Amino acid sequence: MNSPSLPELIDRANSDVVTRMTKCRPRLVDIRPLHEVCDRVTGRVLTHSGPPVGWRSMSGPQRGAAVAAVLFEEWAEDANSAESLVARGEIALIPNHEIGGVGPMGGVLSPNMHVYVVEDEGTQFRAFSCTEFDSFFGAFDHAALEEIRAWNGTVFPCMARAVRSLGGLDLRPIMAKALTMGDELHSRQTASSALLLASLASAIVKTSAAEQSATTLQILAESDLSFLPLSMAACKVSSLAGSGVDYSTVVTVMARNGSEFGIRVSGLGDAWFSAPAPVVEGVYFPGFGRADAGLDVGDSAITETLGLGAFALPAAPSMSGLVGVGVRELNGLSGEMAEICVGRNGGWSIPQLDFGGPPIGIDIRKVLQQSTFPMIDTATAHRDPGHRIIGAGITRAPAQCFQLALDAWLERYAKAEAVGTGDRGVVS
Amino acid sequence: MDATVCHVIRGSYRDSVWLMRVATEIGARPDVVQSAVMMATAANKAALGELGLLDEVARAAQPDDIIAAVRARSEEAGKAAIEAAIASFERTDDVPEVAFASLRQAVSGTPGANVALVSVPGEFAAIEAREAIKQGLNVMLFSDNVSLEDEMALKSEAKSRGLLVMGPDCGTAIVNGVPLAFANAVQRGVVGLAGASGTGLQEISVLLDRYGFGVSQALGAGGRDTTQSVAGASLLECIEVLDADPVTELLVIISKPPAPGVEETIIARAASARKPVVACFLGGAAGPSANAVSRVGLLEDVIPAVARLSGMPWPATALDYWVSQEETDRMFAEQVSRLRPGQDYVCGLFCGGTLRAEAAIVMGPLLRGGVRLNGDVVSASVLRGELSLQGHLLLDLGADEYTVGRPHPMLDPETRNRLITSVAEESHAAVVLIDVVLGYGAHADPAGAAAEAVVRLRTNAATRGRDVAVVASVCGAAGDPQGLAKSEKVMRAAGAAVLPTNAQAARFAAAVALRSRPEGNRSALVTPANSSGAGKVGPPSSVWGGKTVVINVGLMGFYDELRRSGAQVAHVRWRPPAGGDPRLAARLALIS
Repeated sequence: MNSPSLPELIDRANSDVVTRMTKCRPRLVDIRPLHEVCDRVTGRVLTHSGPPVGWRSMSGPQRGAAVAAVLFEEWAEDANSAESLVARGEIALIPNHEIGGVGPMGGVLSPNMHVYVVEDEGTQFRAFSCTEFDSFFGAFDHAALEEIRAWNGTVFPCMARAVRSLGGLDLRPIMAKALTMGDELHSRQTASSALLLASLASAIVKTSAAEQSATTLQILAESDLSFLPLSMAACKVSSLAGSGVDYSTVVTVMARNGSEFGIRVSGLGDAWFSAPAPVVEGVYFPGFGRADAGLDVGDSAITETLGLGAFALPAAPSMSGLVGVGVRELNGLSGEMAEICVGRNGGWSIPQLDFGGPPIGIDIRKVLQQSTFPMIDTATAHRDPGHRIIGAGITRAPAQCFQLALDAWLERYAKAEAVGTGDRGVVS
Repeated sequence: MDATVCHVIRGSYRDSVWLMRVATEIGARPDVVQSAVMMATAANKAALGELGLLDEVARAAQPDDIIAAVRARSEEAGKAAIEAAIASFERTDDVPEVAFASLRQAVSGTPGANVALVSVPGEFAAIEAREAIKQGLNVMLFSDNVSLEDEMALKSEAKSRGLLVMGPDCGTAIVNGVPLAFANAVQRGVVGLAGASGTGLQEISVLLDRYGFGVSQALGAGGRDTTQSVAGASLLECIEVLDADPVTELLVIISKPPAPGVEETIIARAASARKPVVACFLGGAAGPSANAVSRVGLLEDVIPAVARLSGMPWPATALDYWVSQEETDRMFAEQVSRLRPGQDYVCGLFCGGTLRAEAAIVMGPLLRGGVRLNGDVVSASVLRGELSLQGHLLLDLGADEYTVGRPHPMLDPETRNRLITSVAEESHAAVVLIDVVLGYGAHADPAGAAAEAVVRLRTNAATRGRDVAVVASVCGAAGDPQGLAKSEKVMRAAGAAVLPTNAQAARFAAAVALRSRPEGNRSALVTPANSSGAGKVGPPSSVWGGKTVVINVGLMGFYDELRRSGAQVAHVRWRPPAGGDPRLAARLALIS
């Protein structure tokens, strides 16, 4: 019997990865301070979005977010001393992805910040994430700190009691419904956030005092993005389930720290393949423009990695303006992403795709063959610390990440393969 | 003084990102300083107020209204921007050109697709060709710079799957009436062509067309097909296909002289065909051969051979055809009258490589001292416009050394035009000889472009007290988009003697340079035989199911031309794979 060819081995591994990813049933099981969830985040430790980065090359939004986190933890009196504390290297910096987490934008979390804990029952994989605070865009003023305090002092504990009283919250029904209600589950979370509120409201009222409940319900009602961290954590759980499959060329992580864009590939373990972060093409709030924009930042591209966000754009017609195409062209964009993916996620059903699922399982081979790079719809942060959101738009993962990953893959799995263009070049 | 202009669109809802898009668009207009388009919520109104973008009407707007506000250099500019914003609420976006992200997607989205026209850069072309074969498509590989190993591998892979690879470096084909890459709008008929020569195939197809014959198929093999290594792999397949094609009643094979051994193989296969075969190995032996294959040495001699095999009338001694003795004499007298003693050399500037080759074969024996070709001059100097004629020179300007980083002269006449004009500097130049190639894929008006250069050449020469003879032939069919008659007329108007075939133009140019009236028995003027097979309705073609459906991978221009010809075609939005790294792309292909 013939042993399987390399392309066959890869195809098999890739379809295995996609099966693992799509089989996950993410549940919100708890909300508690990060240091209770992850023992690596004890003492003076901050986490951040994207691939590893040091203070010197840290982007504006991450620096601002780090200052806000230090002030929240009361490790420093003011912004200046907070900044020099991190600059002196007295605070360890860990990428969220290296400890099973994801954070929107700057994504800087500290030990006493509450995080959502999402778990897949089948595999027991767990992931954490946190609300997209203004501080994650780089703001560290009084209002930004008050927001963090309000969530950690009232909203998170309140939601935690509700979630525990419910025995956890299955995220799939919310996500499935939201995809039929105009969300693509990255930048547009209007429906999912409303559904989250609806799912928890009664339990919140039952388990918390009236004033706390009222505050919590009010804050959740005002937020169009409260589900974003849950969407991200759900995707991270699936990502973990699909990681570490030998021979696979499927991307399991796309994440940005505002300076660099990094990817991870299932068959290549925990290695990062990074390139300079791209700019975000899009639209701006009044008073801001291209010259103010920072580079692409945040772990939220985990949603695209798992086939949501820009990969599911047909589900969110209202996003067409942000992407800069007509509503009818959104299917084409998703189709373009399907061309670089292993398959479709049958677990989701999008009316605009004739009730089919969005593409899932980005194959670095296909990406490089077609030079079609994964698209991401995302918010735009200011290039400097101290600002809130300034706009939104779309971007694409840089080519170099995939080239580096392919090089590493060939080094690991195809070292013995001669690179002839003669008979070996014949397709199998 | 800046003006603030606000407008309220009542009772409307749009997503904030959509509104930001509109704001960005109108903000990009000249004289607009700042712009905002927002739902009139309290928070948004406060933000607009801080920016000074809120007037009384806008202040009173309700949350379900939309405010469009701009600050502009003038009231008018502000109002125009607001108008644009309002218009964008009503616009319907254009449907984009249909293009597929990959060859695979194009195939699955194009029922009946059976050939890929690949024109991507050479170092990536084999990858696309392999994918096409994998998808069950025949391949027309227009790209050059494909490695010999790749060519051999592709052809053997295609053969094992019953597919045809035309190329690499295949510039022309017509399959089931569909012109692929450079091809002329010739009538459909019963003569099937198979060639390892681009403009040779074109010249024969247009001459057949002019005589009244139609073409069933014109299949290309690629310039390297008849070398020792490739051993005629594609040409043999082409013969196979044409022999089996019910529409085709007669075969014409055209190539440079094949490598030793390869010629025998091709002739042997041709001899076993069920149909009559004319073989033109350029410059090779002519005359009937023992094995029933008619051999001719020049492109133009294919026409009489086909006529004879078809039982059509053809005067045995006709050398030139379609131009009368009187006309020839008149043109000769006119061109010779321009020359002064010392103007002795022919300078041939060709777009077509095979046309140049045929001209060299015709002129070699006629001109003392022979002719110099591409290899005899320094291309860098030539490109600077320094021809430095020291003898007769025939240049193929479509050769690699003249097309690196430049479009082919059939697409862009600029390089040749510059050279035509520069002949004015050459005091020994007697004749400028050019080919004008029409058809799909070619420049929109090659004759017009060449004529302009000819006029400039003669004007410049006149300032030096000289004139130059100009001889041209137009490789075109009456049906070509550029118009054959029109193109010939334009060349004549510029002062060129226009001959009906490339070989005749070469012979005529030599005669002018030698001041020796063209010889030969040209009393027999051949009239086109209109009833000899063109437009003849035959049985359905067996080639690719009788209908050519194209996937275009590469040059967008080929897509446009295929559409213009009425063919069914899908376009692939190709981008260099592996981030443009050919080595990585090749390795990638191994694991895909």
